Amino acid sequence: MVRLQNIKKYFQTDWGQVAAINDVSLTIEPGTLVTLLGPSGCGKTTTLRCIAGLEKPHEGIIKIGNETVFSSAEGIALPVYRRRIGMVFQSYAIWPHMTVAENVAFPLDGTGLKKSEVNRRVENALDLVGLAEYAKRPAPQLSGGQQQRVALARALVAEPEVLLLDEPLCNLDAKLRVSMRSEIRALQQRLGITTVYVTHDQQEALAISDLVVVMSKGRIVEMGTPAELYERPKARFTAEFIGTANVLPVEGALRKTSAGHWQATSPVGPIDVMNNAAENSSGTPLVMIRPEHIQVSATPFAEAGNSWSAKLQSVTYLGNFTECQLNLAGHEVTAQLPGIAALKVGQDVMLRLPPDKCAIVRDDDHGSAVTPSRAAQPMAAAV
Amino acid sequence: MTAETPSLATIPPAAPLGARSRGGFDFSRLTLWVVVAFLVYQVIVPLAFLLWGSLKTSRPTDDDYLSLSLTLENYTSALGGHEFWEAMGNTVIYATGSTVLSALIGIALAIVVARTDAPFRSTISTLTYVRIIIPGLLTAIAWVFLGSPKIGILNGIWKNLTGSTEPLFDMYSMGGMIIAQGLDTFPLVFLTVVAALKSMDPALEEAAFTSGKSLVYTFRRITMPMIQPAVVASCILVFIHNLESFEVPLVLGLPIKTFVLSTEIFFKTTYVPSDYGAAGAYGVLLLVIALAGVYIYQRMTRRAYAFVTVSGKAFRPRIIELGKWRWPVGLACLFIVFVAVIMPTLVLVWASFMRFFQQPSMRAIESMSFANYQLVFKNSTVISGIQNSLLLGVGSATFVVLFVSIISWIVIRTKIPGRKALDFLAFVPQAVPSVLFGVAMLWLYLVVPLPIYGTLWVILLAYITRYMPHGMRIVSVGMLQFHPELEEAAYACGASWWRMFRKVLLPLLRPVIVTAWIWTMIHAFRELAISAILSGPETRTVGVAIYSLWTEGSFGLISAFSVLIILVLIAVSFTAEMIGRRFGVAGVR
Ligand SMILES: Nc1ncnc2c1ncn2[C@@H]1O[C@H](COP(=O)(O)OP(=O)(O)OP(=O)(O)O)[C@@H](O)[C@H]1O
Ligand SMILES: [Mg+2]
Repeated sequence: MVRLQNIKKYFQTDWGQVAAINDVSLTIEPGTLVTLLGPSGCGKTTTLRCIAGLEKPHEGIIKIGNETVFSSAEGIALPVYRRRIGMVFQSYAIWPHMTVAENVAFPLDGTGLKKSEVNRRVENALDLVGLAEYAKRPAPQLSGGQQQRVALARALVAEPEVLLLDEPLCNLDAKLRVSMRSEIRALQQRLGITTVYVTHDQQEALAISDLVVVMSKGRIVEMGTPAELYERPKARFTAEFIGTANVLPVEGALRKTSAGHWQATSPVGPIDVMNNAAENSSGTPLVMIRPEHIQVSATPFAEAGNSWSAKLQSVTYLGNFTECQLNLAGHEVTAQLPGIAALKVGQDVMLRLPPDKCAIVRDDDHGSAVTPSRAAQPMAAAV
Repeated sequence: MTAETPSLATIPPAAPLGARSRGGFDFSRLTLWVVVAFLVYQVIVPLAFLLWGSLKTSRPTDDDYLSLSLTLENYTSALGGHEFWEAMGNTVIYATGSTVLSALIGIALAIVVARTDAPFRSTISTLTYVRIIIPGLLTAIAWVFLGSPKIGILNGIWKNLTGSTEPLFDMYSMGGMIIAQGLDTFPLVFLTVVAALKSMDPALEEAAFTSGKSLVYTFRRITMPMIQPAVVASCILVFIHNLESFEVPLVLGLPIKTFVLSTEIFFKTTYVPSDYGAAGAYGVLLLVIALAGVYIYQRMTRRAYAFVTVSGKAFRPRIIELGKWRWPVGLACLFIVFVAVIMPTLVLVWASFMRFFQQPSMRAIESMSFANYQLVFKNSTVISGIQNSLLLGVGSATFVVLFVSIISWIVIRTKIPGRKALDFLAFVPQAVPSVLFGVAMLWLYLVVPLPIYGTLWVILLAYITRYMPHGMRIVSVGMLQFHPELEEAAYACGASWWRMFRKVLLPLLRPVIVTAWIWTMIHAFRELAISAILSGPETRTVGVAIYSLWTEGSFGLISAFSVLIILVLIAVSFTAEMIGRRFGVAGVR
């Protein structure tokens, strides 16, 4: 288990003090894989390095297992090498002057283990990552993917309490990234090791996590399981950072109509919404729906409600789906329709937002996840 | 585009030498042959003459000098006599001792400056840089003022404090020579190690911490092995440098008749009765050691590059917090650079205000005057020395940068066969001790019927060869940072090779070229060993002028002259550094 309480960390830069982490609290249950997800510069790496002890927070408490490894109030700051962690660095940090086996054996050096035991454990670790026959190779002669595996074996060989991974796949090509991430997940499950995984790739986060922690500007915006964050995000930031989101403004207050139903008044009329995870939080409410959940048809829908006429502005065939840009009473909406859509640009079509797929998200001062230029078109996708 | 104009597609990377010019005549090929011919003439021919001379008992001016009657007599008598072995023994002790001292100081200071939060770090860096600029001859002289048993100020203070009649130490000794030279060359080690430490990915150390290893263990098992190739390479370079070092053994070794090979060769060549054959044999034997060093050095640097990839990535270095050791460590390091840089400079300043050299006292302070500074500008030896050295400095620097730019380009950008040999040829002079090269040039132009013996030209030619290797290193590192497509784009626009070279390559390389030019200029300006052998009465250089004033005992005059030289050199190189940095922002780094 890893627990962070009210961690704050500042950096002194040429233009003044920046808060790299601003009051982050987080509990990571034993045996789970938690991802820290967020845009560049949001403080993911810094958070991870605070857990490792490579950075010293200015405030807060960090516990690994039952041990307090850092506490600003009590003046505790356990050095890195006394925290039982294993870490994989973004650059892998494979020592070029050692062979693969020497790299992996390094954490066990000088621990008093018998030579035969060290060899056995190194073999096991290399087996685990599928590099058994590379043991004698000089480390610099490995490919990126292989170095990645060596780094993983090295992080695991001493059986740490926590495994920390900082964007471990970002230097690999797209195909390898997909296969490595499932390998890492399988390995983590097999060993049941508590893992903190940093990434800025939302797909990666969804694919491997038990819990995703979305960060922005040094704060935690929201956390939840991959499905929760995708289907029922609380924050607009999350909705736009993970996947693609259409958001429509809400005028006036939300009204609870019946159990599990809310009515939001939007510029196009009242929308029936069945998800409102952030019922009690502050911030401006908005209606969010994923493009693949929007229904489009040339003829009116059988079901009543949440259905309007819109103008089709563009149709783009993308293989596994067709993307349509629609103009809904002055708002641009993106819809993804399965297969090839028999629709013509300029045509008036019917558009329906299924209530069970609509969600209320809140827009607080964290702002939009998209860059300003793209934020200018509010409905555009944030990928 | 005209028909002859090469397009991108017609310049495969393996093209013999870039593009053909519009006229159809291959200037680039001509350039190549001129370069090769000049390089062979400048490097191989003098060394061949050295070897030839060592196999002759007659003198270059004798009639039968070019006849094929060769003999090993010089070698047998050298290796048989105890004079050679004594000089050899001294050389080994001296070069090894001063290299070890340089390495200890250089590595320690580098670690403190690059990796700790000790105070005075930038002061230490700056002073180390200044130490490189101050000519070794001047610090050797300053060390006499400080540590001579009779007049040395430090010994005077010691005698006053303790009432002892014995001096604290004697710079006129092997130990003194080692200290003076070690404090002279440590900056070379320092700069290399700092660069190695800064270019190392801190994650390599952090990975060891997260593997459960302490700071000390990590340093021993990760950091040291990682920087080791760079450290060893720089130590070998310093060793070669100390092997040929001339100024310190001349000033501190000569009075106690402690000769090293370089001073022995010098005296055998220039003092009556001269013994050219013996000098040649000594020289060739010294050259063999130096060449072995260069060979090891080149192998080491290749390994160093295998470790430290030149990614150009700026790493945020990991700073070790020293805690309560912060101040003691900072002060200790400051003390070392104080002894190596400030103290020798201060004593020269002190002496420059004295008519006669004396210990610091109230009476001495009252007698201070600017008289020496006025005399400097009236002294004809000094004036002609400055003129000659300026000419030599500007001439050799300009020629060296132009020449090494072309060689670097051939070596780096073309695939022509023999470019490795070119690279090697340009590096060989690094291994040739200055004294030796001076002797080789002397013999060459005593025989070759070019009327340049005794003129500045012969010194200029010697300097060009001598300073080529370092210029080559600076420029080729700079050139490696440019993508070849920058040049190919020029060809694609219809430029000939020469046009590309002048309009694209040289401007791109401007910062490195400025650096190389200044470096050569400074070193040529203060050179002593070569000019001591090749200078005639009309062609005395600054170094020769200072040494002759030294032997005349004009301490005050030398000191004033030295202070002026130091000030000018510091001003020049810091301006150059600033210019380089300004271009650097827009250009290379
Ligand atoms: N050593 C440092 N000195 C100064 N500022 C720093 C330092 N380390 C991080 N920062 C700043 O702190 C903020 C958070 O950095 P951090 O490296 O944690 O971001 P990140 O989320 O890992 O981003 P990325 O996805 O780009 O790796 C950034 O604004 C960064 O510029
Ligand atoms: Mg990061």
